[in-house]
Amino acid sequence: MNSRRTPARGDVFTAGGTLDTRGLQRLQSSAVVRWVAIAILAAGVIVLFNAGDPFTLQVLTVALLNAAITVSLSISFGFAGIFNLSQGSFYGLGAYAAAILITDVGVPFWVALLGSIAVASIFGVLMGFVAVRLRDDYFAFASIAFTIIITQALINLPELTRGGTGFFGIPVVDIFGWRIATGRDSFLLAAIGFTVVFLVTHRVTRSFFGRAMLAVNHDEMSAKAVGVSVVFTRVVAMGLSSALAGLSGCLLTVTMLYIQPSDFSTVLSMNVTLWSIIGGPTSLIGSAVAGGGITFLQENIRAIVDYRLAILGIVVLIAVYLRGGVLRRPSWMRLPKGTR
Amino acid sequence: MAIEAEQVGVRFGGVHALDDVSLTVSPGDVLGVIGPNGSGKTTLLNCLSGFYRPSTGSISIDGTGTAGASPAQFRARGVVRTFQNLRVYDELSVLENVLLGMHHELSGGSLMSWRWVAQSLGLPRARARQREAEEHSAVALERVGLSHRIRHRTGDLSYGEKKRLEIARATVGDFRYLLLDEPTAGLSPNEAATLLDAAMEVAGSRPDTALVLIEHRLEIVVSLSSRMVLFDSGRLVIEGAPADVARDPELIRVYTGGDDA
Repeated sequence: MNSRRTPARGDVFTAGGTLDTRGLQRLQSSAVVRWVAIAILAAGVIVLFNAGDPFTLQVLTVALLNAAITVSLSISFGFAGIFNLSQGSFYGLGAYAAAILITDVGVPFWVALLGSIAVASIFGVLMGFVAVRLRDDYFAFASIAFTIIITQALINLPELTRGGTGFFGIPVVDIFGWRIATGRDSFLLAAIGFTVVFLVTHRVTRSFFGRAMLAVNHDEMSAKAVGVSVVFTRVVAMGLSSALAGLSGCLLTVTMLYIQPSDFSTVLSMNVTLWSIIGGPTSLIGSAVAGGGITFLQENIRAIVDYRLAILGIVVLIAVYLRGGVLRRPSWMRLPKGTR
Repeated sequence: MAIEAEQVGVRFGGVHALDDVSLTVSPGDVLGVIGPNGSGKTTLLNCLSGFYRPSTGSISIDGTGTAGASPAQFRARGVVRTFQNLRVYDELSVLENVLLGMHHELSGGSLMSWRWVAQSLGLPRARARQREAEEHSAVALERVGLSHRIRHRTGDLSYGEKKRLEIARATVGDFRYLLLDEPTAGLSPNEAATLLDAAMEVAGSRPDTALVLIEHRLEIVVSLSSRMVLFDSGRLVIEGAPADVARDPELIRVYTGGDDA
């Protein structure tokens, strides 16, 4: 009698005895992370041992970076519900910041990386304040305008950016003795960058902040009532999503060693958001597969190259049909494991 | 230690939604708020929770003013509320909805703190805190009788269950003032009783918390509240012990609208 059970971790003490909550502790599931890590490792091994062809390696590098910016877009677009059509600009700002810092200022890679993140996140925060004032399609227009402004600025500030012909002569960087000189090095660096972006995005979106972003996205009144600051959440979501794009931009600069303003035009920005819609705005794996996969296919399947816009259009239509419309706010369900 | 409204007025254009209202809610109080539709009850609640800023007058919490404070800052100072129309997230699980109520505790209160960064990146200490929050949520759900629903999609809950979920979400964290806006509207008498029992259990029985209850059914307010106020056209008409207010001839005049009642 009276053999009081030793409390175990996960037990909750209530008036009526203990309540077992162990089944609940999977919200920060690491299964996703594990699978992604395995997939990247597998892909990396295959590429490193098989693909000697520099063109394929270059395409794969760009595909990984595009996957990274699509994944980080899910913070602002998927979770916070900000209709962000300027992800490519933050990528470009990061890329140009790195190019200028490395080539003209002559700083080491790490400083350039921090500089890229800083520049992109400052502009991201600025656009975050715009997102506080403008909602939905109004913000979409503002972000298109922002993208056009950035492209024009990159073209028309030749003393800083070398103008429309592009930024040549970026020296090969050295990361603690590792020179990013060959296609393989570039691919490896892009893979590391993608992994970092994915992990940070995964952590943030699964944290209380991810929950706060969903709350602000779906019902601001209710979010305020539980103590979520709508302004802060939107601004930080934009800042964070842009900072990760800036990081990817820096990696683009040091792997390609040549960038031009037209790389970061409205075409790229629109495409990133389209990839996100196709992959699922709140699905990190979906975003990565759509962003990376479509980039890879576009460059590789020459037979479809003439029709790629038509094919992309059809794919978007299908995605929209399946998800109930582009303009409907992306909804997302978070249920503990073992739920119906 | 109290929320004090001093000569609070709220105007929407030419309409006086609240007019020169002064009242105090102290810990241990259960304040019943009655009045016809449009008499300013919800406006008062919106002022007390920071959703409206008074056009005139002021509101203070525990002796400090609230000028310019956001709803999030009101929440940080212990004011929690529910809404007249359901405002739970159908897309999230029941557990996630309640966890939202722990936002203030998980984020460390201030906007950008070390705790904030640690918690959003899921650093080691953060996991323990997240688990703690989940355990608190389970307790809050048990209090309103929704333990069995914890893993379900909120959209699948019945109306009455969602109402109780809203109370669990409001009361899961640290709070001292619970404001309920017509919590029993649309519920059957049975469901209403369950819900109010739960609310009274979390707030009404604790000496350090206060409950403000907007409620249309007079017999319910009279039986639950320790004090009652009657509103009419934005003004506080009577304040007093529930039994006295319920017997006051003003009450009948206000509800029937007749001058000769």
